[in-house]
Amino acid sequence: MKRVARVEFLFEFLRVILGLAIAYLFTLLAIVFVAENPLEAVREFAIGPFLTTRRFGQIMGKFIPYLISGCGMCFIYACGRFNLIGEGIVNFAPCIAALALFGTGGLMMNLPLPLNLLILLVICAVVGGAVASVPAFCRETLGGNETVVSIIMNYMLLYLSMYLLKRFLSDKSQSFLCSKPFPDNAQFHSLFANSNFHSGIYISAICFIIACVVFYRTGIGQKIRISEANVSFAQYSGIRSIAAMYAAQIIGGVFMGIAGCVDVFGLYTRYQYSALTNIGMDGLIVAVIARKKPFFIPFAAFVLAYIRTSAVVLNLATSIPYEFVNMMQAVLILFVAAQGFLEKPKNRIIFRISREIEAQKKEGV
Amino acid sequence: MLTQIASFLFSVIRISTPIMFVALCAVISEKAGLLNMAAESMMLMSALIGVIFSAITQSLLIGLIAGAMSSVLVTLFLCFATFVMKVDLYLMSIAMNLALSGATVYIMYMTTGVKSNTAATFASKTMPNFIIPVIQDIPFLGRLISGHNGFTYIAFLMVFIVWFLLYRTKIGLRIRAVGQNPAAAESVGINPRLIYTLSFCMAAVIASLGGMYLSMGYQSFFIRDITGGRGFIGMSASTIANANPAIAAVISIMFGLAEAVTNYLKIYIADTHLLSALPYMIMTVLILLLSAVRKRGREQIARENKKRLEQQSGSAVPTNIKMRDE
Repeated sequence: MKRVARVEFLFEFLRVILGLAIAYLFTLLAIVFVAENPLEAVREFAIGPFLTTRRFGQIMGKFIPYLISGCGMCFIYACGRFNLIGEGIVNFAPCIAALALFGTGGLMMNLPLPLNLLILLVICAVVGGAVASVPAFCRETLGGNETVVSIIMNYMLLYLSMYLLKRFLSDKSQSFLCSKPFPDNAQFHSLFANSNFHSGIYISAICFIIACVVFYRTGIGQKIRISEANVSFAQYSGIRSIAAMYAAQIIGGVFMGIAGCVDVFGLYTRYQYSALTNIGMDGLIVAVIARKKPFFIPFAAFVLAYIRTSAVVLNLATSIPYEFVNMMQAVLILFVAAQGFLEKPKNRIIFRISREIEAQKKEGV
Repeated sequence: MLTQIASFLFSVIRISTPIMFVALCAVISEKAGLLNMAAESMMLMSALIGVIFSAITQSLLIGLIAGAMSSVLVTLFLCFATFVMKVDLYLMSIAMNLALSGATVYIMYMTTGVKSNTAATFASKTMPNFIIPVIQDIPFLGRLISGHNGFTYIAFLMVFIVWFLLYRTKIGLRIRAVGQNPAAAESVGINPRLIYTLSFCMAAVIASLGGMYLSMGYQSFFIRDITGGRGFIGMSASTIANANPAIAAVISIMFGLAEAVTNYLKIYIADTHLLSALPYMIMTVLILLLSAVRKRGREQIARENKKRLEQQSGSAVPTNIKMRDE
């Protein structure tokens, strides 16, 4: 059995790597095809993001929330639920945290930085978990469709956040809708050269470790994994799969809240979201590339952050628009998530191994 | 006053038109048992391609056909990914929405040199407004019913067409059979994958009309992300209506009403964001309530079935009999 499991893992790995390679090559080919100066365009796309500290900072600035939201979506997606509420949570949770920051009568203004950040993170996590439980309730208790509810709620949360921003937080001295600037003791500060690479990376690292421990080393993680593999089996072996599904979605929401917090208080000096950020959907793409395994999330998050930054660099250096790379994401998802991709050779090898094991057993008898 | 009410209701119908198309598109997919989250991409593609082709050929008909074909092509790619390559449908739909949002901007940039809209380069033909001869003279009704865009009348006609297709044709019966139980349908020789693909292609044609209404009816050019989340609103309308075409159309008009009220009140109220959030709040509560009601209904049916079985067999039936979709 061990050999079969190894083959399964190998093919899973191969599919991701091949999928990434095909999508990347496809993108490069397309760039060559459309660019006025193909060599320069390819160079900018491939190594451009690493050429300056500022650009590398941009990759890391994207990597930090992707890592956390990827971990969150891993839990939600791993239990087979398409609860897309993360998108709205990223907007809404930091808004509530900003309300607490400015609305407590200067109480938080004088607290030390670590304590302030901890309070903001806890608020975002609690709000995230609470909000994510609504679509979960719809699905697990009421038997409705969690995807529809979560998508509608995303728009609701976007407008609610903007309402709260305008009503309670807005800085009237600015020409655009934004909050007052965050105080110095309530920000994730830049780690080097004033780039986007900020101290939120430590939170990402901690979240990643927690996600791995919860997913692989705790009872609830095991229940989620078993429920994912086979709900009926989980139920017949005494696992309350509904509780596991609830837990997975709420944990996902908590991670999403933290991702929003780190993004808002790390990348920006004010709360200024006026549209959905796509961090939630990107989290899903990260989870797909990582094949729902938290252990591979850093790799997947870095790949996505790199591709996104490459697109920005390409946009600035050549005439190829940023949106071009969004097209290629469909190709990436197609190959990475396609169960039919490489299925035949995998089955052939597994059949052969099974027959060999069978033959060995017979000989042994 | 009456004139104002009539013109307000006129704008409600105008705003509801694209949502109605998407809701009907979602109804067909939902009857086949699948949630259509890719309506956004179907609409975006058709809205852009329709404008380009109608401007180049200066023919509205060719624009409409090209738009619908492009939408079907996008859908066929989605079906290939989902039913042949076995990617999760929801996942692929999300990826397609992202991709098409980028692709339309890319195509627009490559053909016009700007990323915002096609107004300066492509002079698209638009669907004309139709004045209905006798009805337009009726005082209140005339202002309400007559003078709408051609697409609006097609949308109302489409409610009947979709109903007829689903409940009065062979293919409709097959779509519903596959939607209720794919395995049972397969056992009598229906190919579920073919039915899924067919239902998605039909949905694509209907969604394409919604997309083209935005770029070739309501106005004469394509703007980036022109759909503005209408694909999802239509999908919710279909979910709330439990995939019933007539109810889905009514719910679409309710959404149109909510949007029209928001537009009208924007002049008087400074805090419009809360007003914008309100329809989505109502929708969320409505979906939760209806889910609860439907669950109760399912449990009721299960209880009755159990009782009947017990009466027939004369012995107790295990309590853990479950509905298929639970």
